[in-house]
Amino acid sequence: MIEFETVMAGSLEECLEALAKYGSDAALLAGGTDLYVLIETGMKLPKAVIHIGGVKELRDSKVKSGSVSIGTAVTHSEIDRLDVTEGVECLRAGARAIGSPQIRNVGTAGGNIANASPAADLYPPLMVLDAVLELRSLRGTREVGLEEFVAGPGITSLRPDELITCARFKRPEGRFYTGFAKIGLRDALAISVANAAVTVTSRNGKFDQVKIACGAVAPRPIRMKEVEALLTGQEPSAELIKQAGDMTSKQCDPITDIRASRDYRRQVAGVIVSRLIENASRELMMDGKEGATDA
Amino acid sequence: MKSEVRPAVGAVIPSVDSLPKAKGTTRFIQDVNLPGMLHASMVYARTPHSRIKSVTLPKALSIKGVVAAATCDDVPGENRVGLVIDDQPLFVSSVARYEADCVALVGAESTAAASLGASCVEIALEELPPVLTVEEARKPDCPRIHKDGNLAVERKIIKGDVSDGETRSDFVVERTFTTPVQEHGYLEPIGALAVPGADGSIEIMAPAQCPFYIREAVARCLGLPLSKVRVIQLPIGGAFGGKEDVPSEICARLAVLAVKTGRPVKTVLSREEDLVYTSKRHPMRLDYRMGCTQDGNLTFAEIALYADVGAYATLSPIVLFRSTIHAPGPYEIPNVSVTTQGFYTNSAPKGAMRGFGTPQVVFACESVIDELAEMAGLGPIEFRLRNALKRGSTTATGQVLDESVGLVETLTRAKEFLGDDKQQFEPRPAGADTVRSTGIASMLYGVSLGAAGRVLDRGGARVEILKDGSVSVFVGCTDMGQGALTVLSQIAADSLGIATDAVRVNPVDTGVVPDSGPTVASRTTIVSGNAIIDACDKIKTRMVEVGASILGPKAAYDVSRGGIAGARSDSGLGFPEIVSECFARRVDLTATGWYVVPDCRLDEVTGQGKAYHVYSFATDVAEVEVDLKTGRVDVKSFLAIHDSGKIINPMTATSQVEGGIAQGIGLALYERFAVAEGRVCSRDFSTYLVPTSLDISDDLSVEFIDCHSTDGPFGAKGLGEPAIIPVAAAIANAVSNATGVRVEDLPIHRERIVKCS
Ligand SMILES: Cc1cc2nc3c(=O)[nH]c(=O)nc-3n(C[C@H](O)[C@H](O)[C@H](O)COP(=O)(O)OP(=O)(O)OC[C@H]3O[C@@H](n4cnc5c(N)ncnc54)[C@H](O)[C@@H]3O)c2cc1C
Repeated sequence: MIEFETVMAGSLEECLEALAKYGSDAALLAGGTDLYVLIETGMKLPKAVIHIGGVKELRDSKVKSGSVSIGTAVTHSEIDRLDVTEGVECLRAGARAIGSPQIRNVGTAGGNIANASPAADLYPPLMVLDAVLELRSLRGTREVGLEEFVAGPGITSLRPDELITCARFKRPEGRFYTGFAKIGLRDALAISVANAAVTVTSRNGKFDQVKIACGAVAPRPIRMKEVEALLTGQEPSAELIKQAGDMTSKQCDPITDIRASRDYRRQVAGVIVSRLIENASRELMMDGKEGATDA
Repeated sequence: MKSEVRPAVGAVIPSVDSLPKAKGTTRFIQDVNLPGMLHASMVYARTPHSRIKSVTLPKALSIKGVVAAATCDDVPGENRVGLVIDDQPLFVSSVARYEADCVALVGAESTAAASLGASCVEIALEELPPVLTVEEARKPDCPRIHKDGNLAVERKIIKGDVSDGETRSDFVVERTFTTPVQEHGYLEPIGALAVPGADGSIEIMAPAQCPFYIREAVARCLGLPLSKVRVIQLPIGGAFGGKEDVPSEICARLAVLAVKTGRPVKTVLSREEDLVYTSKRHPMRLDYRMGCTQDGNLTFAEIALYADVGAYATLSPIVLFRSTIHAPGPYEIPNVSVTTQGFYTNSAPKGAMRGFGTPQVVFACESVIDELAEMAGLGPIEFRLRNALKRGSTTATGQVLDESVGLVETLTRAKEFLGDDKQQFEPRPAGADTVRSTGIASMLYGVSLGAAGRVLDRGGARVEILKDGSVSVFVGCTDMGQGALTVLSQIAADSLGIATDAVRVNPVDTGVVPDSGPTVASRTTIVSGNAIIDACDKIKTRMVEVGASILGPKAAYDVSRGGIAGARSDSGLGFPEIVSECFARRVDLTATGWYVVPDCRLDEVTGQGKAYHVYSFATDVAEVEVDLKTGRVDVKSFLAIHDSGKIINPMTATSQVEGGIAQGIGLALYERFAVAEGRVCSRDFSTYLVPTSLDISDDLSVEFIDCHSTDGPFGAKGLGEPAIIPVAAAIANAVSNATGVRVEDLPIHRERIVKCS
């Protein structure tokens, strides 16, 4: 039988104290949709479980001078309907693509990030938004970018006495396109076989700032820097978009597992990236009919 | 006299058990706990093929809370549970033939102690080379899984002369198909409870399809007379064939431990155990050769089926009988040869699953039929209509169908629905990378056990009319969610001419009803329904005798009003009155009804004869959209047209078919049971994907062709299994039509679509 102590943290202070006390013997519990699976399968055997779902400070979301911050214990369902995420479609769509309504009602942003699955659906959206995480411990507060935070499957730079308090990103300004796409083996309750998010702006009918991130195609979610460079400053064309897809496939280094083969993951990652870029060019009206201008 | 009662048969009545299930008040095995009860955990071999040298218990018994354990040494009767072929031990004594072959059972005060105890049982074993595929098992030099070799089952049909048929063919299609293992995926894992009696008897409570199978298995393993074993069916949270034979093994093991300890013993499998340990649908390789003339008349079918039966034969001889009979499809074909072989492998036994060996052959046959239609330049519906079995047709086993053959009507309806018979089946571009098309598939399905299960094909019912006019019914077939309780209430109500809610159909109790065989083969409505009618008829005869003594010799039972009608239209006794009168005169209003399915027999060598006494038919129409770049297949709409005779309850019937479509979509597109080196990899529902509500089309329609069967109660035939049978075939044909590449393997693999396009 699995036995552990539970700490029902009432405040951030209590969380941090409990974390300092138990260190690596502790596991934070937000929605439990990853943690319970880890405990059940014996991958994690915490001596103490600290419940953070009731901590008000961690459920705050706000916009301060153009910077959006999402509290770590905000659920996926909430992300999809918060005022502060309005227009940030990649993030909303990423949250909507997770699990099922039941999972989204309890699963949280912080859980998804800290669990650091290569297939986690919030990573690509947060990466193309250049999000940074605020990490707190009794010793202090630090900020790290997502790419710096995650090193591999379940491997992060989080220290044993730290927790994530929020994710912060700048709201994209002006006219922009943002989108998320996922290939799972069914339409709900499916772990991504490949996922991708993009943010794109245009200037004078050309791609201007392009950010692309993909998940489930490498040991950790990755930014597609070469593809971004390929597109930046270029006029959209069918040929270019196809090239972007092909280049994405090439940049991917996925594994073969029970869900899909390496080849399939590469193929479909390219497909969803080129489809997102095509949507972007259509939505930003870069199809030549109307010279797209930034707002 | 009372006015007419609205007939219950044909009425839309919600399942009587649906509300408590929706509210969560139904008490499943998980909720049933008795004082002093032990929780049990099975101990598995954990390796695909091995010789067991010793099983050591002291370490397990030393765990706090562990009370006792049982192994083959504790079985008072025979240590065997083989159902058709006697090849399976209750507890492994020498050779373990699959990963979850059961070696011991540990009983403890809590589930946690039981599973910890089970993990502490020490098994000394010598690994043997595992036989993992049919291809290996067939080889002459392959290690033997059982002493008589690896060939477990062989079946044949020979009709006419296939080579003669081939010479007369203008077109021939030859193709090999494969179909996968399919897991039942019921919501409620298997469980059971055994309660020892003070007098040496034993009572079993289980959510199981076949209480009479359990009674036999427990009596045999305990060395008890059948009369000392009583089995009471608990509510079943889904079964689909998965709770046909497997519960017998579990119940017998629990019974051994219950007798040994003198305490009630219960187990409920975890999802992982259920996935790894229990039976599945037979995976098959299907070699088809079929031909037709220029005009599109079928000339011959030459079919070879190779099935993986797993570690033990269990129900395979009967499942593969069904595959053999159904392999040539619902068509008139003058020359037919079908040979079926089932081979042992070191994997979980393959057993009953909805459709019982038929969805596989329908997929292969209907694919070939589509190809032949195209070669002959006919639309798929036209081609099928030309060859369809009709009243008076002769089947592949030489059986002449004398009634209730509604296939042509289902095809005609499909044609009316689709309009043009050819264009509809062309690919239609739907987006930059997507294409749509339609596919159809037809089937026949022999209702009830047929020639292979002849001796078991009968059933009983006990009907008792109580003094307040309410009716208590016991039948020998179970409700597993398919709506039997509701439909059988309707049949009882209309047999007596009373309201459905005056009838209560009870769960099966082997202490009350005669052995009625298994609840399988879409037979419950027919077998239990007819037995109820028989019992009601006996009671009505007694009521009429009483009525005649009051109303005169012309008194007769009036089913339209319920009660006895006299000679004059204004004279009569209503149902409550005649019941009171019978009670006042101490007349017995209890009767046991009995129904025997019309005899079916086949020639052992040629497979010729009457295979089943009546058949259900169906045609399904699937529209799919295929993303050629990702291989995703979306079922856009699905129409299922069934001839299951008279539909007793359109609501429960429709929901049966909708569920069948969902499960068929799973077989066609999603369900992939992964095994590596003889060890199951799909150990949970995140790696064995079944379709969710989002993966099933929003646009499902179900229609019925009302083609009465004279023998069925009120004209009914079977429906539970037909619901799933043509689904995967119709989807596969639609995908083939959309992509231009013939689907040969189920489930349809996204990666293959991407590679082919
Ligand atoms: C059926 C099912 C379907 C799923 N489908 C998807 C899917 O489609 N896409 C997807 O991406 N994921 C999916 N998941 C995974 C999971 O739901 C998500 O990753 C979810 O966001 C996890 O959040 P949680 O609040 O439940 O995390 P928890 O389980 O509570 O925690 C997860 C991990 O993060 C740690 N943690 C939690 N909060 C913090 C914090 N503030 N600071 C530091 N560490 C923290 C915990 O200690 C634990 O190790 C699915 C899970 C299930 C069970």
